[in-house]
Amino acid sequence: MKRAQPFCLLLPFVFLYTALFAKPLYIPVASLEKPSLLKVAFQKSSSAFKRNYTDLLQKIILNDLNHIGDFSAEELPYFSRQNLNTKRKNGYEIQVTIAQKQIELRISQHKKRSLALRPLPMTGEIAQDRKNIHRFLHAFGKKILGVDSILNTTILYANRVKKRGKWISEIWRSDYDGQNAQKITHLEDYATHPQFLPNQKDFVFVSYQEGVPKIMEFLWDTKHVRKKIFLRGSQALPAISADGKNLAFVSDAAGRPDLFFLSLDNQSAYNKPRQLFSKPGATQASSCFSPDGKKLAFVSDWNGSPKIYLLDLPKMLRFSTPKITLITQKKRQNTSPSWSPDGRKLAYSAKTEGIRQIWVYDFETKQETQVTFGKKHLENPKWAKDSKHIVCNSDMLQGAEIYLMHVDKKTIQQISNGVGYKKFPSPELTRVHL
Amino acid sequence: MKQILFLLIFSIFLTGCQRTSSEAWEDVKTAGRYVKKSVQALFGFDVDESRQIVSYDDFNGPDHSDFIPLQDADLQKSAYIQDQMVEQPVKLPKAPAKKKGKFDHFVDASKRYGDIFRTLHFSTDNHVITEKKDLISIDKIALFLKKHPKAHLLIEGHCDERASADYNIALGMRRAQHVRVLLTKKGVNPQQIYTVSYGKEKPLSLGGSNQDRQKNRRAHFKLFIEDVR
Repeated sequence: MKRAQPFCLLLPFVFLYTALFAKPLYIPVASLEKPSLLKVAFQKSSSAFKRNYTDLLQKIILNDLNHIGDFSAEELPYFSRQNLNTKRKNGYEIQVTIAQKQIELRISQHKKRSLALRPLPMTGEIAQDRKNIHRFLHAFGKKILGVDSILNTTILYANRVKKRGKWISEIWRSDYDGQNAQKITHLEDYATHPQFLPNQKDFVFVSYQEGVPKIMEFLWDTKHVRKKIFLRGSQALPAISADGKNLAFVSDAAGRPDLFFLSLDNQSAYNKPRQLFSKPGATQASSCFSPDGKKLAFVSDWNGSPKIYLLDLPKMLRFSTPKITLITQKKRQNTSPSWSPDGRKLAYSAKTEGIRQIWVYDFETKQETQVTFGKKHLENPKWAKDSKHIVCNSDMLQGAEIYLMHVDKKTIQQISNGVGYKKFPSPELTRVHL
Repeated sequence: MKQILFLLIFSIFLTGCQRTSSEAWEDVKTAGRYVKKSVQALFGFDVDESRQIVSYDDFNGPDHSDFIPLQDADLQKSAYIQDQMVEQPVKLPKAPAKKKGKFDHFVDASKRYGDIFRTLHFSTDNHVITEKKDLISIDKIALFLKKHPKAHLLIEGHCDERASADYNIALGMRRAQHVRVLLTKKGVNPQQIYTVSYGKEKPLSLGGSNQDRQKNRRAHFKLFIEDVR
């Protein structure tokens, strides 16, 4: 008993040291759950559709399964029960049968009973069937695998074409995989930077219809376009908070491209935009809100090359420029910040050895990580609602296309095609309750 | 007698200090805020500076302004000659009935007055005009606008493709605004000049050479002269 006393005396010091100096344990998101494997076997038995149609359905299903959280789908070369009887503990086996005019799906896991889902009827029309498969597998991911996937989301983007010698840009909307693309605005003018409002239907965008850029709102139900802000000069680069209550944008109303802020919650006639950040000799550019709406990340070149800074949105009306914190330091030309819905990461574009690449800043570790490595310029990253996928666009002289990448799996795929320069992608927002 | 006098003074003292419960609660809240700020300051937290509101304008900005401006002293300094704050015109020019956009009736100024409204060029990632020939052009444009007070000028700011689209929108804004500041310094009425930025969205030349980029980093002019019949 007496021997134990010295150790007992040390305990208060150990407790004090732990309380004062020990950092909270942080586990990176990627290491929490290793990507699990989905082994998928397809069987086409007496389908009512032609072979190339069933092949297309098979491709859509496999692609969708590959975009459910961290899961990776692997297609088995042929349908066989022996193939499916895996011993992997963290894997799932999925049997997909395309029979007659429906898709049947059966899932089984190591040492567990298999589960058959209610068959999904197919119409034979690819646009509708594609949507149905997205919805079906989204529900499957949520209920069976426990993952809220991006399969049921859509993406807005601007598509620029040259028409009769004049550049025209309209807002388009597509499924998460770039398919079912549909032109939304028909303004025959220049429209950029669309962003969904929280109701996931209406959106704000920048329109040059008045000659100078103005922030407009598109109302989905009435297809009506109306001005969002009444302010002199140009307004561009809008950012809406997740709850839709606040809007940040860049305007030259005061004579410089400054950061402005407008509370959309305030319905008072006296509600005016506030100049939020301005510095002599500096240019402010794109911004984004933190998911809780309390902070704003934005681009400024007031210290040289454009970098990303952070400011706390003042709780009360302030008349002086708020203090800001530099958060990106590794590379130059940092632009287009996008805060992940889980609040842990910030994606942005940075010039890396002459090419604009996508980088991710981790708020916990304060580390900046390059996540794209190709030869194409990539910019305008936007997080999808699962905080795992990023949508961005390439920007080359020859063309601009939309890309979808999985940050942890480090996979990237072009999802758009067709005529035009597709830019400024923006997936659906999600309300995040932290 | 002494006892009565004492009770009288005591009762006056008590009623003199009497406050309503809401007043007392307000005082407690004020004291609480001061204590909170002191504690925050003691532990090095950023404490919002407080400032007495002197007028109604402080809440809603000046009546004539459609926004609430920052009031930092360094934003008003005249040392930044190339970066003076010249507010944008409140009203846009009235468009003829058939024209859709507010500037659709503006015509390419270089086609009509090519010797005056020459396209100006900028160096990479810069918004300041440095070429002497460009500064001479500014003088000519200023002279023209002063001579034609019914003329309205639209300055378009453009960039090359090397920076990101977002940053280029802001840079184009800055380029156009810089030209506007130079013109107003020459005595042109700022209400005659409008600016717009297209960033890298409307390139003049689609090549990737230095000459192509030089062509795209530009300030282009469009002009409209009101009918003065």
